[in-house]
Amino acid sequence: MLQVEGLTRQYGGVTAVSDLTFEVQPGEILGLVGPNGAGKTTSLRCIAGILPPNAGRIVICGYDLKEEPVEAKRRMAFMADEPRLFDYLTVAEHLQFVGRIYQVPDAAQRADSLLEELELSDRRQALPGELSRGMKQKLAIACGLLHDPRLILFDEPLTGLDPVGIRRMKDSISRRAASGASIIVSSHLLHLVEELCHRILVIQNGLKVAHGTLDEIKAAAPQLEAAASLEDVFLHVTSKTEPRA
Amino acid sequence: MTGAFLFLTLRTFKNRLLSQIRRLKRPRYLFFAIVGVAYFYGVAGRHWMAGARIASRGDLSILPPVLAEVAASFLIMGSIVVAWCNAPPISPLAFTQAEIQHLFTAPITRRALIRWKLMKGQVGVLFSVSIFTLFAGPHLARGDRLLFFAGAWIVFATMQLHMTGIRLALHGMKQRGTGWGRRVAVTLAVTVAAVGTAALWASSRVGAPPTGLAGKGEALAAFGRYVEALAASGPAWILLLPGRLLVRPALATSLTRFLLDGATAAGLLALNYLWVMGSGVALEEGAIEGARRIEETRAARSGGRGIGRSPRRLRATRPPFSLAPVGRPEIALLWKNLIAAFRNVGGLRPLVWIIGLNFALILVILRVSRPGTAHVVIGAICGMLAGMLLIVGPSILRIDFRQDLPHMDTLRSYPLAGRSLLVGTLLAPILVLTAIEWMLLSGFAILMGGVIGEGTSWSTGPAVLALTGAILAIPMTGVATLIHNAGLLLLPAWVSLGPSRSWGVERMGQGIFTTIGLLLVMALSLIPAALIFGVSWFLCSAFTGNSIALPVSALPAAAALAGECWLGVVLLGAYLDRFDPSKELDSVTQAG
Repeated sequence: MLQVEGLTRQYGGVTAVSDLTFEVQPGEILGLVGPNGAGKTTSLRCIAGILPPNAGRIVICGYDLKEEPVEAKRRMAFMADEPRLFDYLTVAEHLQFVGRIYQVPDAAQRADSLLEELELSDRRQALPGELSRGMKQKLAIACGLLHDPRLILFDEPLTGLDPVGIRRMKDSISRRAASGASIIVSSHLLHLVEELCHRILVIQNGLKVAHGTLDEIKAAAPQLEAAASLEDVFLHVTSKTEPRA
Repeated sequence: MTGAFLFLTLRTFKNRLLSQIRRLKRPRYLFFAIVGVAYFYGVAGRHWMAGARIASRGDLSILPPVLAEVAASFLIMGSIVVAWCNAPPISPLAFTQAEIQHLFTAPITRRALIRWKLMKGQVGVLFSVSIFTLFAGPHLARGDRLLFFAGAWIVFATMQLHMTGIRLALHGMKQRGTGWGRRVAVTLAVTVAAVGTAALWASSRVGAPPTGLAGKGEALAAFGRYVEALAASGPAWILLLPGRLLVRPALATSLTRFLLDGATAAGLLALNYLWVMGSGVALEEGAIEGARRIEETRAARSGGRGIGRSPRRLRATRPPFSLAPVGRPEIALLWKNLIAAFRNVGGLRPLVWIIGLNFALILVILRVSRPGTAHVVIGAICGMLAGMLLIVGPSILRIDFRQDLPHMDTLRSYPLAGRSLLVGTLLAPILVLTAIEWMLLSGFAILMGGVIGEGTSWSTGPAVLALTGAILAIPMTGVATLIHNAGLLLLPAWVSLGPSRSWGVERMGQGIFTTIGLLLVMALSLIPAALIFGVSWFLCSAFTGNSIALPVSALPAAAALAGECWLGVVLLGAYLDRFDPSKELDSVTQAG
């Protein structure tokens, strides 16, 4: 579903992501973790087609992002850590607009169902300025899910959500994966990643330092106990990496 | 504490300057910077340097001093009246998010904060005065240009303080429950009463202006004496005095004169400073709160990342049309931007006010008067507005990338090619501006056509001109809008983002700089179409009259402009496909 080969991205003279290669299969949830400045958001923005990579290849559902960006993006959704909404469109209009951009014939029905699921039904005519931070986040998620993407990129998906919202979000992510979508969740909340994700990709200084299931990563580090949590694994693998030159 | 403020100001200035210089490493910025500097040297810098050495007199400096003083006084009074009615949204007391977070919580008095912000605002004022002197100095300075620069600084700094004082006063009035309507009514009533009294007094004492004088110099001198007499007559003298005192140092012919006049003007500056600083703790608190809200608004504009409300209190009005779920995606962008325009985001409101008042006037004139001078004047105003709109319209109506660039991450994640994104984004301003231009041209044709001699060849003239204008309006608006957006996408660090233009004396210089650049590019882009129009008209007019030749000639010219538009869309669309927000925008967002 998603193939990333040799992804490299530089900002001026600084390499934010270096030769990153991984895959995400249909139905799989990949946890993307790493310390601050590791290159997680840069990787996601490259995969989402926002930043052009300096090198490497990204293939989404068989479409090369560089060669066929429109077809690749049509099958993908990116949920940024901060909800980016148009100040002058209401909740319902956001969904109408996104429906037309992604050419969703039954956008109205899907919007109703998503708003219901995200408890935004009674805020349909509200403008973003009248929504709380959590509601804005929910609206951004609804916009992302409207076209039923096959690849979903979440950057800190739980920021701003209340406990009920967090539970629903986690259920929604699991449900989408169960229906065959490939999902990447980037988060500092390691317990969330451990709970939700099938495989984990740890990056530091733009480099892949660990990749696999939690058990596979633990097996590769004999010093770790069998009962080690993702937090223990994370601290172990990130502490032994040399800082970026 | 002064040391900390000084450190912050100087370091901010230095780092900003360095980042602007670093930006010139990019060939695109370097190229346009060289072109810009060469242009400014050609039109202003060369004269400035020559003038500074030989103190040559500019064109307008031959005007009697009183004329310049009175004209400047009127400008100052006008801007003060406008400010009392509708204060500019950005004041020098607008705090950034970082300043709010670090300084509001620090053990610093609000008074010290305000004093620092006012001093900091002088950096922008000095830049604006420099640009103003560069352009206006050669024409207005009567003595040394450095004296003009110093005098202009006193005017600009005083006005900035005065506007800040008005903002503080308005905030106080709002706190006391004085609404906008009442405030505007009182301001206009006072203005009308004062100007009316002065005008009546002057007309009864001074009489009619001089006529029938031969020779430009004699007429000008006589007119100057007449204006001097008017300005010295009772209430007019009182009304005009502050403005005249303020601008006198800038018009001084010698250092001695400058020092004498400068002392009085500096007194006005000091009075305004004391007015602002002495507005009371409650007002200071209110000003900071107001400034904080402005900053929040600004943050909300730049990508919805900020806290707080939308820029203006928006209402969820009815969309302009119903958007089907499938079809050309460009229409979705048009729909979105029209919604923004109709919800009073991005500059449509001032345009609608101008056009609405104009049409109301036309209707009244048509109903109450016979065809005559009034029709001609209003018709001409319609024509002029239509012409002006081609140039200033895309600058005012910002429902394009200037509004959406902060959302670039979202837009780039959509399954749209750069060309589609560009076309969709530009459709709304082009449609809105063209519709307004067509309305104005209709007004021009109806009013002028009804007056200029029925049965003569000119009876069809205004209609023909309007038709020709209407044909050219769409592609010309397209080219103008495209140029504004190309400037933004190619040089985002040089164009102000967001749906509204930045206001304030301190932003004037930057505004002049970018506007002239855009106008220059637009003038160049019109050359091919103008040539085609000229050749077509020459050929057509050999066979037919003007009434056919003009609109027919407009067709190939419009096609040429449309071709330019298409080429621009192709090139800019391809550029948009490669657009890298991290290179183009992140530094802008951080800096801004």
